[in-house]
Amino acid sequence: MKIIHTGDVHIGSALSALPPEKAAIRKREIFEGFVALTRYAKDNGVAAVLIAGDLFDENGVAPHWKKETLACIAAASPVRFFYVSGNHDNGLEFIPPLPENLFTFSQNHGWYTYDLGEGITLTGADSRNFPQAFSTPLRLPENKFNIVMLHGGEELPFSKLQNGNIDYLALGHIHKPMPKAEKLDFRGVYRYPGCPEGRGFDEVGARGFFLLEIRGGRLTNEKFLSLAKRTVQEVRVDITACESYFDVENRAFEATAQIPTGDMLKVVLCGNPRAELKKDVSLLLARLCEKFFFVKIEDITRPYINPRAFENDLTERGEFVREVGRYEMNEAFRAEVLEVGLKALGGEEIDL
Amino acid sequence: MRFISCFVSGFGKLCNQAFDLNKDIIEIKAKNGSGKTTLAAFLESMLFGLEGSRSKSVEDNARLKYEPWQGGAFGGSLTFFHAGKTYRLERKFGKTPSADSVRLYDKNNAPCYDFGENISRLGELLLGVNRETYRKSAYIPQGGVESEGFPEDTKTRLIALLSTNSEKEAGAGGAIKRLEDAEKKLRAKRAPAKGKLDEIEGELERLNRAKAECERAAGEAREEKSHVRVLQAKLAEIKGEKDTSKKKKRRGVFLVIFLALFALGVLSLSKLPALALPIFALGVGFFTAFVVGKKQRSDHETDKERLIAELARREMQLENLEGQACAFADYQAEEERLTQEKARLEKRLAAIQAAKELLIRARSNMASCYLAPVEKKCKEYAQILSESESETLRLTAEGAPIIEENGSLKPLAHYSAGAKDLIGLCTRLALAEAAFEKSSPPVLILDDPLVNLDDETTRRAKRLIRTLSKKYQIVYFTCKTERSL
Repeated sequence: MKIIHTGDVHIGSALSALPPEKAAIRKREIFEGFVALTRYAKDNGVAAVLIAGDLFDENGVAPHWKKETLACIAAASPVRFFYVSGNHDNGLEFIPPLPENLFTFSQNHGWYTYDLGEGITLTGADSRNFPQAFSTPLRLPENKFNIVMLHGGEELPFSKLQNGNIDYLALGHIHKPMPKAEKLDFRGVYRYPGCPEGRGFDEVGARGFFLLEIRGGRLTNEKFLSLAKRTVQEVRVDITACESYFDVENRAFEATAQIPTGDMLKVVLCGNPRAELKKDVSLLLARLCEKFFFVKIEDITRPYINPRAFENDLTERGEFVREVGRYEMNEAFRAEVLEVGLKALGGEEIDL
Repeated sequence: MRFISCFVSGFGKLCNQAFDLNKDIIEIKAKNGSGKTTLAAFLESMLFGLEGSRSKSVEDNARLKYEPWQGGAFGGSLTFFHAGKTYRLERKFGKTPSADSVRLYDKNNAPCYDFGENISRLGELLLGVNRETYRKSAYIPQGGVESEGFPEDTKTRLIALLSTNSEKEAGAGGAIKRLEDAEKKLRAKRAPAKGKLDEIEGELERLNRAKAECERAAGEAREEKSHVRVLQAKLAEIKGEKDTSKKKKRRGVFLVIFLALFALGVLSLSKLPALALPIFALGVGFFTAFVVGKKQRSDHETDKERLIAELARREMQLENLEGQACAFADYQAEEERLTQEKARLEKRLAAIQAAKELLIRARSNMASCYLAPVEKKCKEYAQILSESESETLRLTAEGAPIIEENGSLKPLAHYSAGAKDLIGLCTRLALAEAAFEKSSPPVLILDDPLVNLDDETTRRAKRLIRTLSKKYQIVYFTCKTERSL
């Protein structure tokens, strides 16, 4: 039996990392990513899709997202979708009727078990029902392949899940995929599949879902698949040796040459360039934005100021450096004051 | 410190040339283009090395500019006398500073380590100033004393001299203006102009209002939801009260009984008229029961339809309100993004304001540090420059030069450009003296500074230079016999 393990789709997510026009595009793409997953499941003989929470971003997600999502689940029939709520969609209410191939876990206000056939069981509990679910240790039939699906991070009481005959603990909540499932106890393993699409710059790298194959009561195959439209990438560009904006731009483009243009890119400018260097972050951003879907630049450079070079400088430049050194201030702020001051003294326009 | 000689292996157009420098005034008189400025640059490079630059422009990259025209070794040596000892400094320049080599030898040509590992910064160690300051003081280039834009008071002249860039826009004044411009771009001084921060704040206010609107919609949606629930319950209740077949059957029986009684009544009218009335009355009773039953049924149906319509309307309203309310998350996300940007720009603004304030202080410190000694020196030079007893060059309390002639005072601004140049030269020389007060007297390098002066002023200036040569060794370049010392 083929089973997809996914979670944290966050349909309708507000995407604070992006400006409104890009956020609107990306919001639609996140939904389309889920549609692609349902189509993949239907076209590839997947029997069940496990959604380990946070299918939606908020309880109050726009009604049309709910309608469209349920319609796309219904369209993927006969694939069965199993869904536990997460911390973001815990209070979500669907207006009945639900698609016949969507199965939830709220019936018992605690654990609920489905028999998937072929000796496989699926047990789950909604996040809001954890107190009841964890009030007693979970014991599942020893002679079955038991999957348990939950949404929760490190705060989950793992000890209460151990030695209960779990074979695969399908988790959600942590957005970074876990390439290799980790051991839960002597029998089972657990895994976070990560989110299927990167949304912000804290979700750098490949994102997707896991396809599991269970035969003869054993997990025989598992692979990570990505249908993500875009990947969030982070590139560090050291501009220490740059003499001019020209060098900065060249370095930035060299460092990002291999990155697909459709990706979302965060460029971290780092190093200790000379204080007078005209970085022109706004221009660099505009140039990179011409190439990539979205770019964010984080400038963590600290200008290289060698106080020795100024100790015998009797001009206003030297006196300025000495004057800045006379006052107590946070070192990062001091570096910024020196940078703008020396830039202004060098006749350069100040980057904002 | 005193220069004794130098040998240029290769530096620009100069190649394998030796210069004897062991005099109080080293006058190098040669025609234009013979390499005088190159020699001045060579002497500076011997003291301070050559700056590194990646610039492809010859003007901005000294290594490109002075690369030997004829190829071969790039560099040379300088023999000098310092603190009772004679040294020979040898420098070879590469494409970058890391490829440079520097060696110091004593008079016996033995490697010398008197300055430790810091010989690449030898000029700074010997003179107590860095390259930038050296250029502002001991090295007076062509046009360095031009009268154009001549500031009358010593303090302004001094600040202009000590500013870091030769362009008029640069220097502390220009720098402060640039910082003020940046400040204005972030925070406009007065409406309706808007800085980036003002715009962000305006946008944040708009988002706040939009969020409040969403919250209002969310509140209304909650209310609407409770109405919908009540209506749903009512509808379920009404749907539960089904028009059972029993009721239908009963109404049918009433109608049949009524019809039967009516027929019986009609028949009894002829045969038993006394019974006809009660039979009719009973028939009317059954007919009324039938009509009431029918009416109840119709009312029930109307109520149901009304409820369904009301529910549909409310559900649509609920969906609209939920749609409005859920925009809250988008507004909040945008608010978060703008708040972060605002924090970044506020930090930038604070840095710009601090830099401006510290630059003003630095300028003031610098002026107050040098003003008194420079003014003192200028006054001394004014004495030297005064030609006769009838004419005295003086400086006002603010440092503005005036000429007292036959008892009357005239601001120098009324005099010739040459006279202003003279004051410019005085200020430069005075600054050189003030800058090197704490270290050994430097060698002054004057690269034809009197080029713009008229004959009369040149004569006075030459006298001043000769006087100064008693205290400092002077390398004096000129291309004209009239300006020869």
